[in-house]
Amino acid sequence: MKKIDRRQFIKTGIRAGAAIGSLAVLPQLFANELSSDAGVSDIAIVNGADYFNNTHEAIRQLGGIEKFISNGDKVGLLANSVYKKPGAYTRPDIVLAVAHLCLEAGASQVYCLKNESEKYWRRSPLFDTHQKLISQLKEDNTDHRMVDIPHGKVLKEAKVLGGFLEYDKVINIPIVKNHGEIRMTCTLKNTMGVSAFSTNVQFHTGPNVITGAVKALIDNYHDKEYLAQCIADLNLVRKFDLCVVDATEFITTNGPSGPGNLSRLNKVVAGTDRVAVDAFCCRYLSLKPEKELMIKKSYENKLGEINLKKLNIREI
Amino acid sequence: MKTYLLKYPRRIDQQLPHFLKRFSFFFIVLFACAIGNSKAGGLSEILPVDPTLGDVKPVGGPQKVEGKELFELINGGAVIFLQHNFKRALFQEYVMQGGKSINLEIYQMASARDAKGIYTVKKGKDGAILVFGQEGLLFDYYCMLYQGPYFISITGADSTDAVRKVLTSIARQVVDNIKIMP
Repeated sequence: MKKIDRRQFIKTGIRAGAAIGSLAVLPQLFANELSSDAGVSDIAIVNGADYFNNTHEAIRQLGGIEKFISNGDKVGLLANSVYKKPGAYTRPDIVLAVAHLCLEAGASQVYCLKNESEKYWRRSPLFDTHQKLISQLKEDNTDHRMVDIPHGKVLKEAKVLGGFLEYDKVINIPIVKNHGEIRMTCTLKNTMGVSAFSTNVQFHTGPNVITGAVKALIDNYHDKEYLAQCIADLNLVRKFDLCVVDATEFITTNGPSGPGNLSRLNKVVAGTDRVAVDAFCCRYLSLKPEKELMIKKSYENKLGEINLKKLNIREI
Repeated sequence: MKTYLLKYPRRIDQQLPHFLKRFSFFFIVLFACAIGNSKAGGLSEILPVDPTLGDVKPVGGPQKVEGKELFELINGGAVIFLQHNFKRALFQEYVMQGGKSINLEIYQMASARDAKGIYTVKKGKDGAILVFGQEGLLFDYYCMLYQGPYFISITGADSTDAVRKVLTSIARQVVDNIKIMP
């Protein structure tokens, strides 16, 4: 048997270590767009039934709330809370978790842009134990204000909540779900939550009809291309500082109001890029991002990245 | 004779303002009732009032919408109804013992054909067939059916047997109430 000296032993050891190490890394190199390597993620997905803590973890994976919220910030939260059927609204636990982190990070005020009622918070199992937190949340009392959208392709102006424009930071907290006309609603579509009813009706009716005319509403609604472009243009008004998506339980049919078939995935998804987050969440509705008009047009408006392979996505 | 013919209309003319003054309040009330009835007032008669619902209690009064108002209430979800000749709707929330909510929605369409149309679009697959109503399905946490020009959707807070029992109980009573409507 050939003897090996100490130098040779160390060299062989290093090579063997490197080989074993590369074997461990290889699967990650070939693993789709999902990775689990170290560092800050562009999109984080946390699985499990503890939605409050999973929301905290998802934000931690993005670099922590301090990356997004500074001491003294006024923060506006935009949840999809208008519907009340299962799988049609953002779970209050997730909104509470985001609000909790914002206050911990030193936010001076946290405003609910949809002015959620007590009835909404009562749907959370945390309602009794998080009374103090709920009482700290402020109503948004700002009026809608007309803003110009100079780079909008079809939407040149929109009436949006003053708070959406004024607050130091804004956080989008939608639920991913089916939408009867535009197939999915997530962060991009949820932005319609800040615009006035008259603006939203115009998205559906087109620019040349009398707002509110039922016949025009019906006749023009099939123009999904126009609706998708309006959503992409509305998102030019302001970038959200953070997006946290409820993908825990959501309707896959009869959206946006439901009731419909429920998908229970128990996932919380967080990111900062609206286009990327929506593109990622497409999979939960068996959709392809490149085929979704709203996502494509938002990408064309340079709102974010549609190619998920360019992103660091981590699922835990 | 000639004088009588001339006098008679004159007497009516003279009495008319007094008649109007005397019954103006009655007319106002009558007019208000007519408006109230035209706005889903009749739909309220369809609501279940049967005490066999047990511990299920209505929360507040019914919410009524007509025409494009539906858009304000259910947003983009309204369009499919408007395309199927939606006329008016009534929404009533109930609460079960323990606080679980049940949401009843009754949509009056222009015809039974329209009600069947919206039902066909909205109904999912794999539901259990309801034995009442013209057609209906019960799913794990909701049911949908139609009877005449009415499309009915009832949604529970979760997928328990207790919830499904309440869903079918309410649905049956709504259908029975529709059947006895004049």
